[in-house]
Amino acid sequence: MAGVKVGNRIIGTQAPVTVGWENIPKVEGGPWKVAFFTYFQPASLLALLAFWYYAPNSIATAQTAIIISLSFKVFLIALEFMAPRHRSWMLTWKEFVTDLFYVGMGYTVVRMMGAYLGDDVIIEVVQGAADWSKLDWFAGMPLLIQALAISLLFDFGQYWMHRGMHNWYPLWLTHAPHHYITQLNINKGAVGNPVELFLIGLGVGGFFDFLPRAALLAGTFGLAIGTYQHINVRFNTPGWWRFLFNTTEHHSVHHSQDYEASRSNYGSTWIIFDRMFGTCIDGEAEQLGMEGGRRMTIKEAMHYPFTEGYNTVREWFRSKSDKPSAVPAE
Amino acid sequence: MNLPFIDWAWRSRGEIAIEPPLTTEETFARLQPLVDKDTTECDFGDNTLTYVKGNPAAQDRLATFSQGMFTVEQHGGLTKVLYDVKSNALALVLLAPLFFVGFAQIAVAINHWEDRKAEAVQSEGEADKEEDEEPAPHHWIDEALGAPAPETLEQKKQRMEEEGEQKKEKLPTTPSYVLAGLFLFLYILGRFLEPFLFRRTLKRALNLELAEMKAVAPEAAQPGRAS
Repeated sequence: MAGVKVGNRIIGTQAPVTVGWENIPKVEGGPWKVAFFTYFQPASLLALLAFWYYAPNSIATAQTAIIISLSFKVFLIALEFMAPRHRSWMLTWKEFVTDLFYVGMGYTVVRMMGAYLGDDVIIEVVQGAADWSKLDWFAGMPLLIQALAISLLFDFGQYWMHRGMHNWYPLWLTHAPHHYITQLNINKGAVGNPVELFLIGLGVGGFFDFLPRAALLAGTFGLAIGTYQHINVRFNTPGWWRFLFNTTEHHSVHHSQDYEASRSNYGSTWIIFDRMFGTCIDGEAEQLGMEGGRRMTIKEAMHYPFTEGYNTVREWFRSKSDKPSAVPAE
Repeated sequence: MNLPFIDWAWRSRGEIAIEPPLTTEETFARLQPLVDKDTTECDFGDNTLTYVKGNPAAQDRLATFSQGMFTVEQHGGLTKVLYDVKSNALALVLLAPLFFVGFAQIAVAINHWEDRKAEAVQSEGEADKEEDEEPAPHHWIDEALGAPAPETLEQKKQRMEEEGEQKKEKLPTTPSYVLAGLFLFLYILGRFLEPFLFRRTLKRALNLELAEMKAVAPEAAQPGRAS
């Protein structure tokens, strides 16, 4: 495959990748259908932001956030069935239960890891050691500024952690199982080794003192934008949205079977950090995964970082000890 | 492993009559696309086809029933395909609720241990109780736009009393129980849906109606191809 030159890189030499928004297909059909798939994303983001901004304190709670999040995801799953982006990414019963198992790991095992080793614990230790207080001035800012700052700060950390995972082998070992997914669906973000999911969830938000409502608004950016990165639905996403936010198009390039393409679009909710640091590729891909699209089993995903790491270390020691014997000079 | 009394939970058996009848070779040739993948091990007997899909792709039509046997019977001018297939996925989904209920029990034990640790610290008078602070007032922009003012500690306490809100657990157990219930529901759904879809796929394959088979001319499914 010839590939396409993007900056200094050639994208799509190993697997097909469509580069450039002008080459991405659009939603076709009647005016109502086109309007829905054009305005749904911004409209739902605005509606959710308005809800969290104006909801009374008795409703603006974490419990409401969970109910909205689950309902929104159920609706998006239904949308995947009604308007799939690719037939080859259709959600099957087996894929759904597999994804749900990883979601379950996130709510149980990863949460347990977070409770004892997570960012809150680390930040508490740091604050205790240096006798720092929280940065109180943060809570005095307008709510939407607080929410934006929380979202951007968290995403900035995720960007570098994710980029680190693609560039430093020990971190890559934890992230590799996530790259064995062969299709994108709503819950695919949860697929991976629990160690990776724990690492990617680390943030520095705990250093700041912010209002609970700001945290709920920040969560909305994740729900009403970040969720789309793993969706199997084609939208006529507006240009400004694609410029600012990560989309399923961006993320499909990141999951492409093409190695060079997979080293791009590291952001989670925002794509602007990729634009700033030169790792953004606007485009899409259908053929996803590693090793030609081999599907990794749950069992392998659980032990991969450890067994693969062990094998690598063993090979390294072997290569050191099995030095070729000296060849006599002729 | 042979578990005759409970294997109905992950096994599906049945038969499909083929009209007009086909020879055994023709029947296997029509089933071949379902098992003709890199990850499938096949064994053809005189009138049997045994398959095992080690790690089927997500869109593999037999991804759920990843191993089994097809037997072709010819009786009085009629052809019948008997199938007996197993699903590791169904078995694991049936076991998944146990995993999550088990995890909930671990969480209960940890929460209990945390409570006792906190009580011990309190009784020793070492409790360095962190007082909750009143939230900062809203910025004037938020006041002007009409966002509800932050809840004071008194209001929050009152609301929690009214709603009967429980003390926050270190490790919440509710998600584990919800997941256990969800997997039980998905097992029941899968136990009926997946055998239905499997049977439909098999019928379509035998009638050359699968999308990937329509592209292939019927003459491609010639006797002897499966041997």
